[in-house]
Amino acid sequence: MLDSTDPIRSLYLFSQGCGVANGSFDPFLSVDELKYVTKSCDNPLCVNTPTCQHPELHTFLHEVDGLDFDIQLSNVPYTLPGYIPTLDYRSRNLQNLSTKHYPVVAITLDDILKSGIKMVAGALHEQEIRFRLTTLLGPAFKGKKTILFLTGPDTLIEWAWYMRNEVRLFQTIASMGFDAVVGFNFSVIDGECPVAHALAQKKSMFSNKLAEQFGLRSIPHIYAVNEYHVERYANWLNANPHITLCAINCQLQDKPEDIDTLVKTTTMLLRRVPHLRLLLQGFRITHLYRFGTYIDRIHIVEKSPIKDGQFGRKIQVVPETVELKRAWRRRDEDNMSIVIQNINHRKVYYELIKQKHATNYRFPNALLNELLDSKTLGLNTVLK
Amino acid sequence: MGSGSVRKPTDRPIVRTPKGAGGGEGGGSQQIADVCLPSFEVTLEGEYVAGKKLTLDTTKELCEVLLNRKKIAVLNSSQSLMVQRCEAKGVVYSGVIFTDKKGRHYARFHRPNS
Repeated sequence: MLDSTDPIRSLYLFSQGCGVANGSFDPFLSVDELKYVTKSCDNPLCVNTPTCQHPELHTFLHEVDGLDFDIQLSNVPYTLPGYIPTLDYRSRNLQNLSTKHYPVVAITLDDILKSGIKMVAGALHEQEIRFRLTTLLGPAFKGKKTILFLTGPDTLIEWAWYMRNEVRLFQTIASMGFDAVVGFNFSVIDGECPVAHALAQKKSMFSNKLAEQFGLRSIPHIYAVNEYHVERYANWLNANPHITLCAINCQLQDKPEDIDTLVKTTTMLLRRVPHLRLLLQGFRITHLYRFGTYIDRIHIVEKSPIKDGQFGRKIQVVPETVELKRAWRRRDEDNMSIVIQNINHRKVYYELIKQKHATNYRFPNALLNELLDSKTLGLNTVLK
Repeated sequence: MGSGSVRKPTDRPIVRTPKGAGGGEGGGSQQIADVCLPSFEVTLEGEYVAGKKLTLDTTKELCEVLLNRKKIAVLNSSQSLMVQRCEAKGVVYSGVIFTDKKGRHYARFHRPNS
């Protein structure tokens, strides 16, 4: 296929012999997936990901029982609110995060670790993995269900995955009181080796299986950057209709073309799998409207209102025009109050966008007013 | 870390071959990941332009940091030993001058990205 369209590209990318092209990965990978390859699979040091050229690829494949999407999960139907704030270690001490409005919160792997990676001389280095075992005892988590997202930089998640038995990763997570855990987000980068993509997807799915073995409710994580990925996930999900909830980490998608790809593949997946609901983690919320009527099957999970608040940046929704505005905090406002305000305003924004686009959805005015009224939530600051 | 079209330059781990099942322990990428740090730096004395590329002379017992073939710093013994061991495994560090917010200059070296 590539020979006829671009022989120079083909020579450059596939001169060393491509297992996908010669059918070595049938029926799990389609030869047609090669049309998306723009980066060389030559990666002898195995930086970020093994590729089809890795001499020990069979060992990576053996670890996750091959590339077949044949994982059986007993994921039971799971009802979640539409908007889920992601807390970090610092915000565990938030006193006023309403359990009524936020019965479920999230946290990421990085925030339950005392150590695991560190930045040295401009690059992330691995270090001893140590847990913060009492994270969920913070007042912000009290009375709430908490979902753990096994997301983070490649350096952290590849290290945690490699060391999972030594550090008793899943046993420890299971003992910490999480309501559910989302599978690892092994990277799937557009243009890279299709085998690397498929392996990352299967590894993530396999991590769900391991989590379940330790009694954790497990939510699959999906990375799909082209229609072949969507097809694989859709086939798996339609063969497993009891899996009604998956997650997608969107934190790296900030370039317009990446957001376009995400919206396109997510919409394709929701269309192909009518029973599916998706947790979008770190999605650029101002693009939410682009999901149209599918919006009522999308949950937003985000940390940005908390991060903004910790730096003194206020987020305010304008309900009349359904817009978000930003401002710096006033001197009489403290950052903890700003964090709560930011979460509330982002939730209102989410609900109003959903109300505008979803069929037959109405967010009660009383709840909206509660979220926008600082006094109701016991804050020591009055919003303008 | 994510899906998208680019990887972060600060986040370039070597993925170790899985343990057990006949693979991994002491394999090529394993040893490299354990021996060759992702990055290291040495402080420079004097004034330099950030972003200038650097090389290493690994033939000396203590490796020398070269800017336009001129020695501007020396690695310590553990850094030198690591660089020499890694070079023997085919891992050649590339360097650049980095200037921090306080105006201090460093010779910063990274592992290759593939």
